[in-house]
Amino acid sequence: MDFSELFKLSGLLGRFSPDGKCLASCVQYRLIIRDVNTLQILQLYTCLDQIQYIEWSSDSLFILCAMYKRGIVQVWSLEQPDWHCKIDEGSAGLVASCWSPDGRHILNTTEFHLRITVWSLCTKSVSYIKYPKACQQGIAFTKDGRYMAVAERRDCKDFVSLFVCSNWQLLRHFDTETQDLFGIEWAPNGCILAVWDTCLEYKILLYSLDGRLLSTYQAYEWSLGIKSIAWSPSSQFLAIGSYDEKVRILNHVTWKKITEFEHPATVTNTKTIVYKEVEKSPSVETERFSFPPTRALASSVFSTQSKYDISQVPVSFQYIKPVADRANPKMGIGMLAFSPDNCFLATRNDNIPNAVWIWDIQKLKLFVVLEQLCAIQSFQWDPRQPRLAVCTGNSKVYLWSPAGCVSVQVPTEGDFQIVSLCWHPSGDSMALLKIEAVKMNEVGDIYLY
Amino acid sequence: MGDWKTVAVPVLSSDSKNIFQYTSEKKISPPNMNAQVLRLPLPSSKSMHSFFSAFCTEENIEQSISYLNRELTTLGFPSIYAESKGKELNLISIINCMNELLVLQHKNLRAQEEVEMQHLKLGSDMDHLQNCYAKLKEQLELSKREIVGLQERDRQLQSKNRNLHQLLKNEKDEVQKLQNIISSRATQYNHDMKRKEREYNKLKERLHQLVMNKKDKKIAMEVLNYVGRADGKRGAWRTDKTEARNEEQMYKVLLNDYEQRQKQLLLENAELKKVLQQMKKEIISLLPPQKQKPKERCEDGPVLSDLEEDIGEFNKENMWELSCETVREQLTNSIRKQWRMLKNHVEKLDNQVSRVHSGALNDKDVISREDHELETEKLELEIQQCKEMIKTQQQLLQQQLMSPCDDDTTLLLQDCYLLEERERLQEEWRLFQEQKKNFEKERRSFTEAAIRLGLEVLEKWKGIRKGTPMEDSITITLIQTKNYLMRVVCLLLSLYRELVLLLCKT
Repeated sequence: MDFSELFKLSGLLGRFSPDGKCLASCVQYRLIIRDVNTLQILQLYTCLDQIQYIEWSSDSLFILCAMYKRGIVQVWSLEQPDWHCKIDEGSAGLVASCWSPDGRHILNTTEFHLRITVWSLCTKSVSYIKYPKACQQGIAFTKDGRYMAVAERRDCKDFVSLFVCSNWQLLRHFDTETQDLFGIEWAPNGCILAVWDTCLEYKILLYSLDGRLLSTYQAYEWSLGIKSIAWSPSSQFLAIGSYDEKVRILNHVTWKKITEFEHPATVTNTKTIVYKEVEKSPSVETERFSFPPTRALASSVFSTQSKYDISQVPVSFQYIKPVADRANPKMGIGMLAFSPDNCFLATRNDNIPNAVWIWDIQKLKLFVVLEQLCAIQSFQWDPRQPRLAVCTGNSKVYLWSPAGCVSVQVPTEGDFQIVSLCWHPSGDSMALLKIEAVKMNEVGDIYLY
Repeated sequence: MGDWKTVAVPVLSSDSKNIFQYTSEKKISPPNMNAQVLRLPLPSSKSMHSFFSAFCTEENIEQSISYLNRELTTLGFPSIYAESKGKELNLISIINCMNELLVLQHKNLRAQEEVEMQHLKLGSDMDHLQNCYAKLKEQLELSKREIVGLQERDRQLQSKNRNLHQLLKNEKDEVQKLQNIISSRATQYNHDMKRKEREYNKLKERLHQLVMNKKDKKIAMEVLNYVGRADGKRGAWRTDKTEARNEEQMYKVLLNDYEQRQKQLLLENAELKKVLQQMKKEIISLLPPQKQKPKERCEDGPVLSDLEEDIGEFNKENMWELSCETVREQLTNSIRKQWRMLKNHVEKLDNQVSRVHSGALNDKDVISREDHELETEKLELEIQQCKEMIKTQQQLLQQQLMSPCDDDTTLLLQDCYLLEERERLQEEWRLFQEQKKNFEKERRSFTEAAIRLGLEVLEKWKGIRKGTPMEDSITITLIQTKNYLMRVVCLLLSLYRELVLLLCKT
């Protein structure tokens, strides 16, 4: 496994281009585009203010930089470095900005979610979408980029509007039976829209593309409800993670629950493999000590190597009960992700923050549990194969695949607290992000323990 | 118990003055024996006389005799007077009476004995029964106490149960109350939220108006030049036609999705049906043939014949594509029936096996477990040996094929081996050809010699009729030919051997 050098980065904004050729990172008000293979700087752009958000267009020709404080979005072209575009929202303010799937329109959400402005780069036309809903996932595009769903709220009622992305024509507008819509997400096949309610009410509604309500699912009442959802890549399953530490899987034929995955503090099933990360102290040869100690030596002495051991079932995990009187408690299933081949589901129970649970979807059983020494910060599946990369805020990245599990130390001077990672679209490499720095990591052959 | 005191009876004389009457006396100890026993006080031997004289003295002999007579007659004995009027005593009748009285006395004594035995028995029985009674009374007391204890416990448990039920009811009521409270609070919060939201919306509207009214020149997009669309086409106006087209497109997408799903489901269905058909066939093949057990036949006969009909039907190809309700149901029903039959069959086999294990059945067909295990062990050993042999052979083969030198030298070596072989073979071929020629020559010479010999023999036979010294020359020539033949045969054999070797080597 090869590691690149360290590059400076701010705001955890490091993104691969969709075609996999470039890596964009920003430092303060500068946008740096690098080539993925050589890591040479291809372009360097300067924006007017500190960049808060960057996004590549779908054809990798343009990149937008949003500066929320000034309310400005600047768009840069990779083919023509001289080309520039600046969208100023002025007193309307800017809260969020994103590309449309065709890569030629920019959707800006103004402050207080007053409206969504659709700016076109092809024509001078501007469209407005009124009364957008102020929620986490209010805008959703289908995978083929044809339709867009927008959550709206008028007169204290929730609505969903479906637009055709090619000409921004309103296709359907229907109300949803939710108290307070929390999020919407399209199924990968683009025909089903999942709409779920706030965590005070466990309710998820499934709508067809033409606006018909297909099904409603409600597991229980009164307790805190849905925390996260994930569609399987084939649209066959919908996984719902809730605050009661369970994941419920619905199937696409009947929209009824086919199974429930529990995340107890003790795992007793003998068929589950539990990988436990243990520290192994490095062997230090005392003769090699020199005075003053070099930086490399110091870091190697103090950085602890770790490896995976297989624990014997039954295994107990560290269970944390959150404080009862705070809102948005750290309990329940906060992270859910399906593998790209539809075979595995990775989850994290926020009550057991050190463990990643990997479920085998073909058998609908718990397959593997990875127990780490620190709390899991994020995990991502490789976009091509069933390989999971996990980072826990220390300077190691952990990779799991059905063949085995490996912990990789990032060679660095000092501490490198990885808080986020993202895979290259081809699955060959990934970027490890820490606050203030980014490091590229070529993932070649995996060494198995 | 009574004390028996027997007193000897003296000899009776007709005019004896002392008629001793010895009696036995029985002292009866248990006070509750109310039998009236004739009790006659028994004096000591000294006072015997006085006793006997108490009844009959010299003065009242006549009265005592008459009294005795009266008593005896009342008892049913004959009179002791000789005649009914006289005073003369009938000695015989007196003796008879005495005898009768003695017999009676014996009888009475025996009866008394029996009664006393029975009395004893009854007494012991009574004791036993009293003991039993006492024990049973104790047991009854104990049981009563136990019952009371258990009743107490039962009562306690019942009350506990009632308490728990009450608690449960209370808890449930509380839960219901809390839920009601939660729901009422939720509605209140929702109402408040809606109110705040409306206010917020109003503010937003006002803000929006202000923002729009300001005609902020700043809200604008500055772009160097407009970019072409991603698909290269021009933008189109939004008209009704485009709306209709969008709808159409959307429905197309939905239909596509449904069609795909239906296709998948059809494929799955077809596969499952195939699997079911196969299962059915296999189940039928597993079931036992109907010749053996007539009992089974009469049970399963009609069912099987139906099944066979079904099989005939379902094996037609076109049945597979039909998916109407009745066909589906028939298929599943037939599989269920067969599965049940198979299950029964397997259960019967299980019963048989268990019976064999318990040793009840001594069936020849059933192999005993030990034999079976021995056989399996033997087979396993054989398998192991074969495997080892195969391994060694493979190793040898590999060794032969892979010699420990690099490719060039192996190739060269192989080549030179081949050359050597080829040269050898050529030599041998030459030799063979030479030998063949020699053989041909010799064959020819042999045939000529044989012809000559024949002619000579003919002449000599003609000559024999004339004289005898020709015999020796005949034998000589015969021997010569024989030798020659032997030589030829040897040569042939050697040639043959060489040929075989040559062929083997190639």
